[in-house]
Amino acid sequence: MSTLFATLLILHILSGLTGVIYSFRVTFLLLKKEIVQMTIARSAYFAFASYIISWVAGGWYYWKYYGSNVKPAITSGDFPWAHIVFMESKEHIFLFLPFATLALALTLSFTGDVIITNSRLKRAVIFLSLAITALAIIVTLSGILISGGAR
Amino acid sequence: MNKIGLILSTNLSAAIAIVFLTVITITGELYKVAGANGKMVSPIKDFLKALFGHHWVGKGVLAIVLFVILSGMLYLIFRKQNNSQSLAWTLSLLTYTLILGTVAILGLSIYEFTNF
Repeated sequence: MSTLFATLLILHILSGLTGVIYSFRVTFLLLKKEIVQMTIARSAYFAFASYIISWVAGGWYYWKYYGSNVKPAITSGDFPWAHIVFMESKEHIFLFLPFATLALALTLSFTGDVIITNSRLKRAVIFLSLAITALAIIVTLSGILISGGAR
Repeated sequence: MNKIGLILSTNLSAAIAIVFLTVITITGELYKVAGANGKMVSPIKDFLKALFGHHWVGKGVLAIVLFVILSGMLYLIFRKQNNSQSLAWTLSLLTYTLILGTVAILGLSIYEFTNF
């Protein structure tokens, strides 16, 4: 693997993990009794930016390297499901995350005190944040399985 | 700028972008026709590949374009909306779309594997 693709893969993994950590932080802070809204919103924007960086780096690597070098090795090996089930799911589910995270970040930035006083809205925000965090963790675990399948 | 209108339009556009991604992915995998050499090909994936270099890149770019255009159009509709009560259902809609889209994509991948 060239230095460029190794760098892209590392950037994809690190920024993806950063996104997961920030998404988890948003959920965790939302579940606390006292909500510091701008801190939570800032974390949501960091998660969004991390997912975008991971999206671009991972996409470039996937397009120019993975498809012609790693994919054939996995699908002809002992663990073809690592690509067919997990990579095929991961690559598309990952496309959902930036849209949902941006919507969550904008909601957290612009709702002011309403989110604290309106319990229905707060519940909906927590539910969305939990779903984003859960999906981000699933995508991360899929990445680990794919790496295992490639080895 | 009307903040409630902006959030409503963004939430709905994000949900529609996820539906678009799910539908184009499932259709791209399941709708196949016989190519010139007799092998089954996917016209949708081939079209995206011809236009963007890779079907995955095409799906991402089209989803972003759809999200931006829809956000602008829906903002024009919701720009006078001041009732924050309507925010909760758009957030819930986005959450359910996210979960159902994931289940659908995962189901498709498992189906593809069983037919591999």
